[in-house]
Order: sequence, then structure tokens, then C-alpha cells
Amino acid sequence: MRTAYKRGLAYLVLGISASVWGWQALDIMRNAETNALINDYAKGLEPAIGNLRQAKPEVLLARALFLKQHKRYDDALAALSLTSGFTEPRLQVLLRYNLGNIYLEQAVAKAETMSINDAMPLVALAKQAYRQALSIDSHYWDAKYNLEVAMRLLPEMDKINSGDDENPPNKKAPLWTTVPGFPRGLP
Amino acid sequence: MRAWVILLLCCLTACSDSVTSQVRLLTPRPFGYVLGDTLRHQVLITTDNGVKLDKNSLPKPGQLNRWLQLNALNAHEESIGGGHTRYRIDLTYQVFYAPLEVKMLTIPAFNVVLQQGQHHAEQAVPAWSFTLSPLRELAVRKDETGEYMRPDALVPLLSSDAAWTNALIAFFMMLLSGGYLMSSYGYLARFNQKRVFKPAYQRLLRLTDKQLDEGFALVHGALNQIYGQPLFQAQLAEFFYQHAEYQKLKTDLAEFFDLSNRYFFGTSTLTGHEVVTRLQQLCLQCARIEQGEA
Repeated sequence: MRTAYKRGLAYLVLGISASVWGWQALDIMRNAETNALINDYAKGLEPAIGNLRQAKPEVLLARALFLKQHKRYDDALAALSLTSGFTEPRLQVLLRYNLGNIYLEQAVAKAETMSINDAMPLVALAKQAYRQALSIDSHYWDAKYNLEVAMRLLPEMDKINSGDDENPPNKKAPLWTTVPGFPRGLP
Repeated sequence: MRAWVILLLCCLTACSDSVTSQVRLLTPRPFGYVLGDTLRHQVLITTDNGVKLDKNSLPKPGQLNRWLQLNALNAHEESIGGGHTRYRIDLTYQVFYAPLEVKMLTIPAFNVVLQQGQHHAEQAVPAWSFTLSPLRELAVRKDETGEYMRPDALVPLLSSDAAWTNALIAFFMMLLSGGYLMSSYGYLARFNQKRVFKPAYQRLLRLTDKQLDEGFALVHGALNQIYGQPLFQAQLAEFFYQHAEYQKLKTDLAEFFDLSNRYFFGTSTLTGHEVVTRLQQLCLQCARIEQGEA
């Protein structure tokens, strides 16, 4: 009876451990496949992916990065839009930051050609994406820096209640709530 | 009637003032912040027992103004003895302002409402000023692609460390449980077998012709160890049933017990040398069976 009990327990442990081993082995193989795809994108290759909707978020992020580097902004945004269902904070930060970079890069390009009306909504979207990234990780310095770039590009003109250094409020209703500005700095 | 109304108003005012409390605002350093930093404030409100904090009067997490966001607010109540209660309010603000130079900003004050029965009082949590610094120089920095901005975040490769650890643990558990089952069903009997006759034989080789007692004791001891209990001549049949591999030595073992009986309880006609030689031969044969050679 005691032996039968021990054997039963051993069969149970064997079954569970075999299942765990198999599952983990599968996980390792999947990770290796995903890493291979990420490496391909990093090398400038565009591997064929059957169904992008089933791709891992890391693959979609790598794909978006590749597409942005090739100035295929709409395709990059489409790739990032597929990651909206993923909620892992680490990936969300990367997603928001890279999304902000896509918008900001386009906005800077538009601003350089003086297409101000086209640049403004892009800057606003970039700022929103950086703020979302910083809301999740307030220590993300690259997002802070690029948000400052975006905010210099499109300053926010609301009154800041910071004491006597503020100008008196303008009674006239402004036509724009924000105006584009391109500070070129000191001579 | 007018007098009653005035009296009632006076009572209400007196009651409102009777809710006593003390507010302390604990703040971090007021300098050295940049865009996107978080600021943690702690408000400690000490009141009499029975005075309740109206949590609806606390600021709501979200955008407070263009540049200030309240990320989190947690209020805890704790009794501190002496008939007093302390409310601890933890606030986490985040600043989204891009100054051109070091700039002083102020987190606005707010009022909290304390209630005791029908009475209530407001307590002001003061404003707090701090300075914010820019991250960029005033002049626009350019690189070959235009205005300088930080590059995209590279996608980290997936780590399989945890999966490898789990797989190794699972593999070890498989080995353990599988090994136990194989052992339990006798598949590992050959590996589990103890070597009994080989050391006995090696010791027999070192005995002299006069150390017959030790010689018999060695062989009896080895047989007892195999059998698991003292083995007598009458139990040989049972021994062969349990250890069928020794069946081929049936005659030799029977002769060994006869010899042992004659040596200890009768008269042996054999010389000491012959007895030791027989013991050595028997032990050697047993050792070969034990090792699976015979």
C-alpha cells in the first residue's frame, strides 16, 4: 500500500515535471524565433511574417523601428497600432516613446519646410505619446528630452501661476490655444 | 424668529470651529527637477478621534492644470493614541513643463474637509514652490538629420533565462521521479546491488591456515547480508527462492554448511589449508555471481 502510494506520487511528479519541461522547452524555442526576427529587423532585413496580428509585441516594435528608418511612417504606425492590446509596462513605455519619435520626426521635417499646419497636430501627438511614456516611467530620460524638443517646437501658452514673473493674462480670446514656435536660440 | 436664526448660525459656527486638527505637509527638496519628474508629497492631518476626513474633498488623480498631473493619491487612517487619529495622504505629482531657463513653479494649495457628526471644518494644505530646469540648451542643436532628438529605443531581445531554469528544475524532477519508479520496478537492481562477497574474498586471501574461525565468520556474514537475516542450513531453500542466481551453487553451499557444522560442532577431517582454500573458492564463485559474471 505504501509502495503503491509512493509510486502514484512519483507518477504524478513525473507527469507534472514532464509537462513543465515541455512547456518551457516550447517557450525557449519561441523566444529564439522571436529574437531571430528582431535581429533580422535590426540588421535592416525585412523577414516575411505570415500574420502580423499574431506576432509578439517585440517583433512589432522592431518592425515599426525598421519601417521608420526607411521613412515608411504610415506602415510603422500601422505596426504599432497592432500592439495596442499589450499591457506590459516595459513594452508600453517603448511603444509610446517610439510612437512619439515617429510623430516628432515627421513634425520636424514638416517644420523645416515651413508646413506649419501639418506639423502642429503631429507635435501634439508626439507630446501626448511622450507624456504617456513618462507617466509609466518617469525616469525615462530620452522621453524627457524629446518631449522638451516637442514642447519647444510647439510651446504651450497657458498661464502658469508661478508668482510675479508671469505676464498679466490676456483678455482677448486667442485664436490658437497653442502656437508653433521654432526657437533658434541665441546668436 | 430672527433672533433664533442668528443664534442657530452662531451655534453652527461654534460647532464648525470645534473640529480641531493639525496639518503638516512633508515635501522633498524644492530644486533640481526637470520635465517629467515626479514629486511626492505627504500630508499628515492629526485630529481627535471621531473626526473623519471627507475623501471627496481630496484632489482627484488626473490633469490638474496644463503642466501638472496628479498621478496617484492614497489616504490612510491610523490611530496614534492619546485620543487622536492621523490621516496620511500620499500624493504623487508629475510635472510636464519645459522651461527655457530655471523657473519657479507652484503646486497649488487645496482644502480638505473634516467632519464630526453634522459638523465640518476645512483645513488648507498649503501651496508648494519648486524650481524646474531645462534639459536642452537654448540654441537649437542640429545634427545631420535635422533638429537633434534622442534616437528610437531598441527592442530588447527576449530572455529565456527563467525558462531555462524552470526547464532544468523540471528535468531534475523528471530524473528523480523516473529514477525512483525504475528503482521501484527493479530496473536498477543491478546498480543497487551491494558488493558483499568481493570484499569477503579479498579478506579471505589474507587469512592464514589457522584463522578458520574468521574465515567461516566472513562467509557466514556475507551470506547473512545477502539474505537479510542470519542464514541457517535449514533456510537454504528459502534463500535460493529469493536469490535464484545462487541456485547453481546449491551443492557448494550445502557442503559449506556441512563443513561449518563439522568444524564448530563436530570433527573435521580436513586440514586448515584445505578449509581456507574451499572457503576462498566458494567466496570467489559467489562474488562472480554477485557481479553478474557467472
